[in-house]
Amino acid sequence: VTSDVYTDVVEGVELVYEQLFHGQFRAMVRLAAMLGADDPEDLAQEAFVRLHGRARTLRDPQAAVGYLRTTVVNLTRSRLRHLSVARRHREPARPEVASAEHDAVRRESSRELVSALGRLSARHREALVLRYWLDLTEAEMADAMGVSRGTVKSHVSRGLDALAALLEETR
Amino acid sequence: MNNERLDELEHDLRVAGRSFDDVEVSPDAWQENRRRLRTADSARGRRVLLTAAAGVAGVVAIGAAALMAQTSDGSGLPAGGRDATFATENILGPIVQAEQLTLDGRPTVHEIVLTDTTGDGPDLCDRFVAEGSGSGSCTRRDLDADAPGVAFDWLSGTEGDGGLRGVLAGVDARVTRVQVWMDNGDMVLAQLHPTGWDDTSMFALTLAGDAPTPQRLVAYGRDGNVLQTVDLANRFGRTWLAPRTQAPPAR
Repeated sequence: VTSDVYTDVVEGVELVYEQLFHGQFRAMVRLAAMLGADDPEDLAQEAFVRLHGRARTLRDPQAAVGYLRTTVVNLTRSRLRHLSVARRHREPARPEVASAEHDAVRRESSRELVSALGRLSARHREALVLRYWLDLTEAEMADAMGVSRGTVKSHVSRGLDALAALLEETR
Repeated sequence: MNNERLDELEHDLRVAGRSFDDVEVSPDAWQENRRRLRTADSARGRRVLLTAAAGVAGVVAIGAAALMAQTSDGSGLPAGGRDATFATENILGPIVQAEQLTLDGRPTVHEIVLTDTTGDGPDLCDRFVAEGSGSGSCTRRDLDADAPGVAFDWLSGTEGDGGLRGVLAGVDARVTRVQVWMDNGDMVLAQLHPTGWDDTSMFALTLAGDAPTPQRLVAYGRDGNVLQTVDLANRFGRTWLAPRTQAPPAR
């Protein structure tokens, strides 16, 4: 009986995980792309692999989505530092490795704004993306960014100011 | 910012966000995820041991003395995503495991290779490979690489969490040794590895935490003559030598 229960639990967790993957993978890729990740799909995959090791989190699908979001935000911030410097220091990017972000941006007239957003500090960019592009509540944003709600407000406000200033510069 | 401008900016932001509505994902994303999970499972035992060791060494323990150089046949830890730069048909020489370090709390191998994926000439590429994932990029050969005053044919820098600073470079056939001078006055000799192309060599040096920052590279020829000196702050910008924040690794 114990073995059967264990098997049921494991299979239940796997089922939840699979449903989460099919329901949320694209959303996490999109979030990573919005945050400027160089390889959004790779980051989303990594976030799901980390989630898989947390059976307790998987028992609460809402918490699992929050965990995924936080992981994507953190991973993007972490890699962005490397990649942004790599871009600045290295020769022009290889044309065949254009990022998903660039692919999306090219098709839109909002290129200038997205470009300016990419020049903000990671925290300001995260705040504006989560607020205006994902329509998260302040509580959800605070959870995803690992900061207080007051700090979220501050990042949004300062992020908007910084964005406006950057757009002014380019006009 | 006045209210009118704020409203306009918020509106523009929301419109711009729609440009990401059609983000595409690979049709085999689920299969790729299963593959990564299998890799993560098989590596779990090893990770526990290495994490324990890293705990003794500090948050991110990397140092010239700890650098390990091995030649890989490419069958080591798997890299994430599509990685044509390290594909057998594109590489020009051996994939070298230049360093082993701990990034984001995970054992990571820094691999470097000279490769040519486009036929436009050799690029020096690197990737940081942890179980189930990898990230890296390439740098083009210097346009003036054939000039007598240029010995560093490829040169790039990397910054990362935990005060990480990294230098990746390739030098021409005249170079027999490279000194890396740190901002605290220390010096280490770079470990040069043959690229397999035109007698050039390559090296990587990644430091983090309380370690000093590489400040100057000096390439020497066979007779002990200086072929080229590079001050990295001039190449990478003055922030290179700025005090480093040691943000906690991403969780």
